[in-house]
Amino acid sequence: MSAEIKLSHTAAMILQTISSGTIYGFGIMEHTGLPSGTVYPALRRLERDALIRSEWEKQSIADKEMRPPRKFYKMTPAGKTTLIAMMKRYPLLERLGAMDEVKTV
Amino acid sequence: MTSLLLYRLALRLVACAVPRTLRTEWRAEWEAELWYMAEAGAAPREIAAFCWGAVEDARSLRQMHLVAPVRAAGSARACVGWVGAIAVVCFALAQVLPAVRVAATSPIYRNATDSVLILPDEAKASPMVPLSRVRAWQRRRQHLFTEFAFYAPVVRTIHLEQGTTRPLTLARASANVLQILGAPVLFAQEPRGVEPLLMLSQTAWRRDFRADETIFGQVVKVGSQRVRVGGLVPDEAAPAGGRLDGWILLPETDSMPETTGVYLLGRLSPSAEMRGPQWEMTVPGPEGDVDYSCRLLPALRADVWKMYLFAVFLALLALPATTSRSLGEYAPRPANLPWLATLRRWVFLTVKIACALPAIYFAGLIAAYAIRSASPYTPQYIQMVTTFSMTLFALRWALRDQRRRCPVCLALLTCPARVGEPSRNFLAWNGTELICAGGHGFMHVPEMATSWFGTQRWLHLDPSWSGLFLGPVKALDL
Repeated sequence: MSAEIKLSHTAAMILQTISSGTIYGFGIMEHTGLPSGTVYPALRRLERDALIRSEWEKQSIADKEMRPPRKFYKMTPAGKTTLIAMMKRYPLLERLGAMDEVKTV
Repeated sequence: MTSLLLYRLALRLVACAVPRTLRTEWRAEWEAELWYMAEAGAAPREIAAFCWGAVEDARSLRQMHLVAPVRAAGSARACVGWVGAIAVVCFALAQVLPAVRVAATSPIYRNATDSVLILPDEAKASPMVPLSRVRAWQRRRQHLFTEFAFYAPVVRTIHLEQGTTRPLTLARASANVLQILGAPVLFAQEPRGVEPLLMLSQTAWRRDFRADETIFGQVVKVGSQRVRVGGLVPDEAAPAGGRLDGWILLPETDSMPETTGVYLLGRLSPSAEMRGPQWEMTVPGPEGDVDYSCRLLPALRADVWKMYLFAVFLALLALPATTSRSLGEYAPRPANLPWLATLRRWVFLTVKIACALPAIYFAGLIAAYAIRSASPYTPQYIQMVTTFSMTLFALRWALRDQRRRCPVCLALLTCPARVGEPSRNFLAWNGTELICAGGHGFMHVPEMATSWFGTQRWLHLDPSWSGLFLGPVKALDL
């Protein structure tokens, strides 16, 4: 079902970036070079289509480190299937390097 | 640090444009990201670009979460738009029509604050002054008055076209009498030839000349004198001597006998200052001192604004007698509804009435003053009656329209369905059930008011019912 979802190149690029692990919005912007006005709405659309899921970092962890909590994005199984299909459609996506800033929640 | 605060403030402002249900989360994410950008030592340009991106986010979110307005017949905006448009059209018409514009801004009749009626002391038998005395005053240098005018009522027979005659109460007057009285003259004709001008009163014009406008400028015979019909004046123009059918304005008054009694008018000198509207005056004469009572003629203005307020007040008084003022039994604030939504219903009612009232004001002016009338009272009667009627109608409509609308999204309720049977009114209710196309609830309108179901009731449906409706319950999403 999710393989039928057609993504734009930008959305596919963001999905590819997230596939590296759990990541947050600013990291995607840094990695892809896309502006925030593109990244965040695309993240919402991917989340709406159940290709990724988001969750807020625990407040206690953020409080301990004296910083605000971050919202992390993680690939879903449907997202992985879609990404494989998108790789065939956009072969250049594979060149996008894995992210440096990866954090597992 | 200061710039970071400014960026946060900017993000909060941008968050206002995000749909309400998503606002909190987006603001939290933006602010968190902003903090991390600042910590990572991002250049101010990058941070500014990030904040600008938030604007793009908000725009994109609004497009993704477009509000599907309930397309049931008659949205609240369209309703207010129509009433507002009517008000604008009425205002524009009132500005275009010169007579209406003048009526709204200036007096239509006497603006006199310097015209004085001079009567012999009340102890004397006749309220008129002998013409000989007036002529003597005119010859003398005056300090209190700049000019005098006078008129003497007489009954003369007018010869009509059909060969009939009719007695009229006319005033033989000095030529300047209408100027001093400040009476408006309709269909005014310039003096031509040797015939004096006859100014007809409105009643005489309608009664004896069948409101024939071609009569003005024509010569008619009054008694043995030929006069030219020179215009139309209000019935109420004469301040004393009863109602007159017309005024014969004499260019020369030398032919009038010295003993003629006349009503005397004077125009006060601008330098004269009187303490009140009435005062006594003693004038020395050959037969001794004569006392006169002087009375300032009151200004007669068409106070359209006061007339309008009075008519609106009367309509408000009459409203409860003509329609139910109840807007139904609604919960003051249904569950899951913000205060704003509850307030919006009342704002809508207020805006409707607020748009209708100026429309009524200008429409009343147009109805009263668009057609010229010689009498200063006729337009006021018309204005009062039309304003009263329109206000009553508008208030009734505003309440009725309000009762027919969903209290949440303010769209007109649809799908009326008859429920129950009148014969079972004792155990169950019967009436009409309407539904909001947006799925906000049901309206139950009883057919017969009972002690336990007197007025319409609103049954609010929470958003969990939205799956049953085509239109999402999103009217308050933004």
